[in-house]
Amino acid sequence: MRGKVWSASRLGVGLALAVWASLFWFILFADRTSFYFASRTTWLAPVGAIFLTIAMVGRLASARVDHPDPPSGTHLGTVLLLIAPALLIMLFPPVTLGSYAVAKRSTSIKGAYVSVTGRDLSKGDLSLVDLFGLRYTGDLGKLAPRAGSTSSFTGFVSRDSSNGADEFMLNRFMISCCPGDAVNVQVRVVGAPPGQFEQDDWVRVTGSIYPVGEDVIVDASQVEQVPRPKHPYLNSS
Amino acid sequence: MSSVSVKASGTIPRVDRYLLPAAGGFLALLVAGRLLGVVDVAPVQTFTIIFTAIAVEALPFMLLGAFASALIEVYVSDDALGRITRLPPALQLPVAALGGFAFPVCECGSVPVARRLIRRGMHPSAAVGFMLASPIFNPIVLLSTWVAYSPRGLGGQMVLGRAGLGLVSALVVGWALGAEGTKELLRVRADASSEAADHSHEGTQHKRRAFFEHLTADFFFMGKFLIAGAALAAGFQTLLPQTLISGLARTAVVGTLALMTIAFVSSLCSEADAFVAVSFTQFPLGSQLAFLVFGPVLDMKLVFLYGATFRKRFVWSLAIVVIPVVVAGSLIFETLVR
Repeated sequence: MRGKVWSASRLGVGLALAVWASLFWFILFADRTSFYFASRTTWLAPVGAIFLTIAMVGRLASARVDHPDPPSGTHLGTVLLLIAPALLIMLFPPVTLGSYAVAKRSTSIKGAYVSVTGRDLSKGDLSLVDLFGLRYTGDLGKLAPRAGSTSSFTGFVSRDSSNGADEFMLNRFMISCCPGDAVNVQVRVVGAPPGQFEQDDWVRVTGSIYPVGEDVIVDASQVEQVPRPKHPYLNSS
Repeated sequence: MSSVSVKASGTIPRVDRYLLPAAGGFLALLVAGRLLGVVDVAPVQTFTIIFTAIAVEALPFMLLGAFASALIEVYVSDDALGRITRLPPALQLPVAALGGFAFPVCECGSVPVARRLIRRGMHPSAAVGFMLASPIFNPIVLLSTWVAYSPRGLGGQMVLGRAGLGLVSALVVGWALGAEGTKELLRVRADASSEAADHSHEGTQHKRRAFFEHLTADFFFMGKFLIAGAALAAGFQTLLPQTLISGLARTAVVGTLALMTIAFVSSLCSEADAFVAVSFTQFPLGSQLAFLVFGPVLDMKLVFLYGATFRKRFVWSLAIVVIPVVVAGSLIFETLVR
């Protein structure tokens, strides 16, 4: 009487689950959650890791069958398709949305409410989240008394045809849920050293701010190149 | 038996036929990108970031849905839902539609359940109502919707909108299509005699094994649609110019029909689709709601499942009834939340 044999089809599904479980543990232990989750959805990383691990163990524990079960080509193709995104993340160094995405993404969210920090904006350093919130609520005019005051912003460089030699756009993407819903927050920087900064360089700009219509202009007194922040995306709340 | 019977009956061959070359091509691109440094090209990078982010965010919810669906499939008997058959016919439809909250099965699981319920004597309108409501009026689906939209302060509105419009759509379609008799509605299957045996899982060990069979079968079946849907959404956001998207999104009806078309093509699982919907930031909220309600009711994979379960004209009748309801509902929602 023959004993049970390993089912190749079930092992294939187990492999897909194992790769995904590994990915979630990898994201957790490599501290990469900020690349894939907003601050309010980071709890999904441990939940995903645990449930995927349970499913993987259950699949592998019940993968022995009475008769050989060779996988079809379609089955193998599906396994490959399932593990492709996980491999993309684990094989390549982490990247973030950059200047190409600036041209493709919106600078506003239709019908959405973005919480503003609620703090007194008449003094102190302004953040890009503050600016986005004021732009969303149509309250950029409230910054008029602060025209000429100094603030610092960190973001990456992009340029468009309207920029002069000493100008660039300083950008930072804000995510609500994940980078899939990123919206761009940007200010126009003038008075920057010409030719010194490339597209996608991360910089910290300090200068005087001037709200002009729907835009904010920063007259730079200092622009320095900085490494990409540990949390490259802003969070809306 | 949800996706297992679907796979066994081989009702989705056209989807599977292209999977192997698609997956092979995708992996070849992956390796080539690594070797040639193509991944450094901005559009590829942008696509990769959005694609992987949506997949990573949505996959845990798809798996949670598969867990719930497998638990119900293996540990809950049909009799729990079958009690509805003892109610007066007029009450069966609303009670069955609300029953989805207690029996959170996804759209793939709800189709064979509805067939089984009709064969066990439930009024067809009630079974159709349950089939369409359970993938939407479902705690896991509503939780994922809340998680996706609450960071924008819109969790409550979107959950209420989705549950409300989902229920209304299910009731209207159930009422309109379920008036036909069982014979006129259901397609005759060659293996009809085996349907009654679908649900028997005796013994603790058998139940545990059956649980993981259902769980992993759902993961395997739905996972490929999730990956394909994430890729479609990422491609849409990477390649289409902002001016075109803004043009589509400017008019509520056009934007709504555009997102309903994307929902139909992408065939996402309802437990995970909120993370794709929330990425269409340029579109009005009403259009996003239409995406969330229409997809679980009618998409490409469901056309195959409906085709295997119901008579041919069912899909056309469903489309004729549900499209105006979803469009009208999403427009009303848009005016309420604006």
